[in-house]
Amino acid sequence: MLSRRQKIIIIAVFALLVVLYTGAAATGGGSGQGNAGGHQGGIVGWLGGVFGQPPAVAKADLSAPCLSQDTLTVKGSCTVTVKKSTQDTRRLKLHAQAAVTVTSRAPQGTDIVTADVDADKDVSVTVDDKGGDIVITCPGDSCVVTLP
Amino acid sequence: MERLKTPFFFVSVAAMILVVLLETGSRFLLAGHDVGAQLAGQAQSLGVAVPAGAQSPPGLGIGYLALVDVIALFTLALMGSGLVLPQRLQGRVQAIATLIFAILLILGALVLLFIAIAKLILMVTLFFAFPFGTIAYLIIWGFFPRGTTTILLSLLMFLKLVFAVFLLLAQPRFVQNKGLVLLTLTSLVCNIVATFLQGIVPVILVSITDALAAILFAIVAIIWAIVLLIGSIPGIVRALQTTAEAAGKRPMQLLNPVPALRRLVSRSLKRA
Repeated sequence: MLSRRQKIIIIAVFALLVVLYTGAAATGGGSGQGNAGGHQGGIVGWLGGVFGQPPAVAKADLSAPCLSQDTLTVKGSCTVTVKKSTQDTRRLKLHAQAAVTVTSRAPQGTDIVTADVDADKDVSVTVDDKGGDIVITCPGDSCVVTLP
Repeated sequence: MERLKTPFFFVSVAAMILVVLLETGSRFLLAGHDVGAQLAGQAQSLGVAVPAGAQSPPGLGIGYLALVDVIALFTLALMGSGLVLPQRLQGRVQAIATLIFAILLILGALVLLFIAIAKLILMVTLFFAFPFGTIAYLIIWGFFPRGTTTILLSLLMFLKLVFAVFLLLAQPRFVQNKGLVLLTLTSLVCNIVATFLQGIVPVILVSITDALAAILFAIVAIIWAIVLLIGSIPGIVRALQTTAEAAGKRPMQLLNPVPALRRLVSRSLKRA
């Protein structure tokens, strides 16, 4: 049989575990839904600092009828094709001199994502190892997008 | 010495079997809930448009808890083997089974550890690649079913407490087995860690902390598997010595194992 001391220790340990579990479960109620557009601190922010941003797409992996040097002269719309790669994720940074709409497949999936970019703003398009097409559309007749 | 109360022992085993089954099958309970409305809200804040069709991810953490709890189940199975195996075979069978189990667990946990690390890196790099990467992260992992996992983790915690209490009722001397006590505490603490890591961040980031929990559980399982592996070595050596001794005897002695067993028992008694 267990001694009185052993019984007290066992009951205390179980009670402590239950209290810890209840506390851990209760933390979930206060942390909310979150906002992906906001600044992320804490453990996730630290991980972001450790792993960093995806590498840039190599210029050699890009092809487009409207591409000349580092400039995309878009008349109506232009499709930039990014070749396949061994890297899981890559990033193509674009600088829009006039307002444009950028459409691309979401990396690691099949969903099509569209982003409106204001004039004189940058946008980073993330592509996965499969590469794919990035469609740039001008609201007007023509516009210029550069690869900074 | 008190005898093992088998009904209590079987309740304990049943609770641990349920724990492992729930953990390994958790992905079917968690994945596939429609989260299109939440995704649309987040997409709007990112300034992008996406088709309204996303589902909740299965998560990694609860599934990886099985790596730790399967050790407790295996330990129970070893204890249970004492009820069916003849005493002369127990030591050898337990040592060999432990060795094989530990090796398989180390290999399996290592593979799963690398998968979890790769997923974590992918999640974090996508999340911080604003806005196309972020929205891709949200579509795949952004809406972790925290409510369902909290219920599941509470059920697991309850079953683990049932396992521990009924094991004590089956044989109070189990509390003197430090390895078993530590293993039970590890399992309970891992449950608390999973709950805590899923609760400290907003819902859209839970998949990341859940992957962290999965990495932690895989490491804990590897450490325990190494402990089991080392623990099985003396048993294996003893089994080999016994076999070698038996092989060195005359054929008649090999056919009649009684003298060898008598020697083994007297040696064990001397050691005790």
